[in-house]
Amino acid sequence: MNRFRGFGLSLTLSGAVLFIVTYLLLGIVPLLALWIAFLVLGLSMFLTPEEALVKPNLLAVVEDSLSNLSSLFESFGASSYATYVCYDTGVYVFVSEEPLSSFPESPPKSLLVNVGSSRAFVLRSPLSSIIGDLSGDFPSISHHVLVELLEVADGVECSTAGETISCLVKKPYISSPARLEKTVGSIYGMCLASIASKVYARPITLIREEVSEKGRLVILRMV
Amino acid sequence: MNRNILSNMILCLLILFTVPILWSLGEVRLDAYISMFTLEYFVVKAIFNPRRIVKDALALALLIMFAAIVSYKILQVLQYI
Repeated sequence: MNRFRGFGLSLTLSGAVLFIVTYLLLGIVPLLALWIAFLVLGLSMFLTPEEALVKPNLLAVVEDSLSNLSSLFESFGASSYATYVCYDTGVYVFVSEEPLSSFPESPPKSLLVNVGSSRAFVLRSPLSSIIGDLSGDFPSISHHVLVELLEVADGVECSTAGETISCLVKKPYISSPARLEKTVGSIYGMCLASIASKVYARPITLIREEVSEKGRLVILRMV
Repeated sequence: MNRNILSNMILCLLILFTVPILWSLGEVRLDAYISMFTLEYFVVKAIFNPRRIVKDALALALLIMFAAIVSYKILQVLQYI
């Protein structure tokens, strides 16, 4: 238990004790209300979770690890398009030099596959496990994952126009290596594309990402 | 600032301002204070959505108390009590 929660617990206990003593001895209602206020505040503080890990640092480790894979893809000449496809077992990323229009019926078992006349690398999306049990519409799931679960942004605004999905990530907390963005996408691109592929049940291609004053703009397209 | 810490700070300010303001207005009904605390807690919860280590038992407890207070007042008005 950290100091914040410890203080909350002591506030709760002192509020409870003082409430009982005041009720039995004095009976002054506003004072009783003050001790109830201490009780509520103390419980609120006590129920606040501790931060086990600094999430942005953990995600930076994931990004740097994926950057190594991105270098590998570039060396094989298959790094321009990242398409996210949702299967029963999870979301998979097809990294290819050309846009893909058809995909295997089941998740490939090997890293390098031939899809039609193109060659593609296949990765399991890092978000597969997190988004597996989530349900709802695309904007609410995106907000839940990026803002509440991973805590890497202040907000997400999504809009859909035909086959194109535009997402504005407000105040992103972590920057992304350029090499990663060009291949599988940043953490934000990966999250949004994985979620979109699950929600819309269609392959989603990460078109581009732009950083501006308003935040990070992620453009996706349904295949 | 961390969202959870900020929500607790705002809740602290709201609740600790409520008590002296209502006291200065001469409010002596405990249910009025509890109703205000409940309202403030849910407003902060709606705006900041702070995380909790378990299901939000405090919100449930406040909601139950608020429902009990309202039910009691309704029964008083209907002269059942």
